[in-house]
Amino acid sequence: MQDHSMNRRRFLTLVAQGSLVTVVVAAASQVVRFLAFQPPNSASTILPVGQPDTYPRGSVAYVAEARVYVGHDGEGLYAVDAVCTHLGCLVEQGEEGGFICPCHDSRFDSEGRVLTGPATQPLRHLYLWLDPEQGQLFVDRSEPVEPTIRLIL
Amino acid sequence: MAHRRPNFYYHLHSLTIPAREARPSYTFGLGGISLLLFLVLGITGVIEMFVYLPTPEGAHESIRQITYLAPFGWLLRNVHFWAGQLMVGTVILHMARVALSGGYKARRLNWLIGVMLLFLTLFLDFSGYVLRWDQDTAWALMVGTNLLKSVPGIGSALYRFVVGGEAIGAAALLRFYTWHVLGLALPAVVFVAWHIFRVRRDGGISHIEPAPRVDRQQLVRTELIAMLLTLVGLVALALLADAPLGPPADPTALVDKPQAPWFFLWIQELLRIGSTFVAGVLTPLLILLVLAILPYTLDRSDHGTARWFNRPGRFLQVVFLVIALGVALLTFRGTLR
Repeated sequence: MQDHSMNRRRFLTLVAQGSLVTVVVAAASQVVRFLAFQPPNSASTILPVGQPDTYPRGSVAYVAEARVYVGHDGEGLYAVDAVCTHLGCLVEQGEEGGFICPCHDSRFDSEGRVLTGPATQPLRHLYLWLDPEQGQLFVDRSEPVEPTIRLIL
Repeated sequence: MAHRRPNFYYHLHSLTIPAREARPSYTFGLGGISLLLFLVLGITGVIEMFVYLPTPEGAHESIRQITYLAPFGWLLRNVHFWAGQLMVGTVILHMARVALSGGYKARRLNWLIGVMLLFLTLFLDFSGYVLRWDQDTAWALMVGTNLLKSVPGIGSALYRFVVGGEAIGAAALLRFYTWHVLGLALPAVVFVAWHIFRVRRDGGISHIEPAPRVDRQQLVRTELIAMLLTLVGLVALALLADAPLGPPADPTALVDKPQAPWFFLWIQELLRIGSTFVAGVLTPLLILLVLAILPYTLDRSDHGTARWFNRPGRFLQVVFLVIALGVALLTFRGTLR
């Protein structure tokens, strides 16, 4: 007959196995944390987009360094993020003033509103301002604004 | 002539081989060809590691050095590239052969190992594609990693785990490099060895019992010929068609037609149709899961082993073909764009 009761040998074996499992699980979870570690982000989100007079009324132009479209409509200047809200590709200008994502065909109107999916969120409008000392326009990529906001000069 | 002990290569086979199944018209040698391509990839890959620089500034430049300056570097890179492309194909065809001829019967664990190897092969290819660090691969990487963010709950943690930061950059390239040369390659070596060991342990190539058997010498001869033909085809491809290399990755440049690598084109097509998480993450994972459990659910019989389109496995064969057809059609639709 087998003896199922706890004796010294069985107890020590259990303790050893338990310790091993604990150490492995603890180490593995720390490895995952190590790999998910995020170094501090030093890249600036504030980028120059040129002189105001490079954007005549009625124009929409792509500024590569800032990955934004800067437009000038009847009311004023505005900046639309070129990064598609679906999976991060850069949208292109469509024929009728809107934007099209070349990766998965999401379509947006000139204000960045979704016309057809798969994107579900509108393109972001970004904070745009004029630095009077340098005479330069700047956008802050980390500062989305309401799509109705215009920079009036 | 003195008796000589068989060399290591002979350990892969038992002394005698079932005659019918040893003929190339049964297996088409697809498993063996995949193994050969895997070995070629390992050897050429290690040589490339001596020159390739896994940094955003150095990657593209070092590939150009391999391709245009280093002696026979172009051939080395082309062979590595084409072996990788071909291996995706042979692995999938090998899986189809096993599914349709009942090769999984009475050895279902090895089917699971095979599904794992399919997964590893696809991600080895994808991570290798990223290492090119040119305009095409940059967008594939951007889309692929942003997909991770769509996973409910753990999405952003998963993204950080893969990318190593808030955005694609040096950390991401180094991570994909490490996954490619070690994190995926090493498990692949282990699973390949296990896969082959299981074939031998399960009695060699799946076959109809009782089978007339022949000396293994016959199979070894066939394998050597298949090996030579594969190498000839591989080198011919490498001589005739160059591995692509676009302009260096520039995260600010507008790209006209960003495309996923051909074996993930079907996912790109799905993403045009469905919602991000369902189309881009859930569906591919479900397909992999369904493939994995096929021999445990739809065909639990051990009758019909080694018979093409055997009756007990009919349901499984239909489901497999439907999945394969769906993926093939979506891929085809993707190539038309």
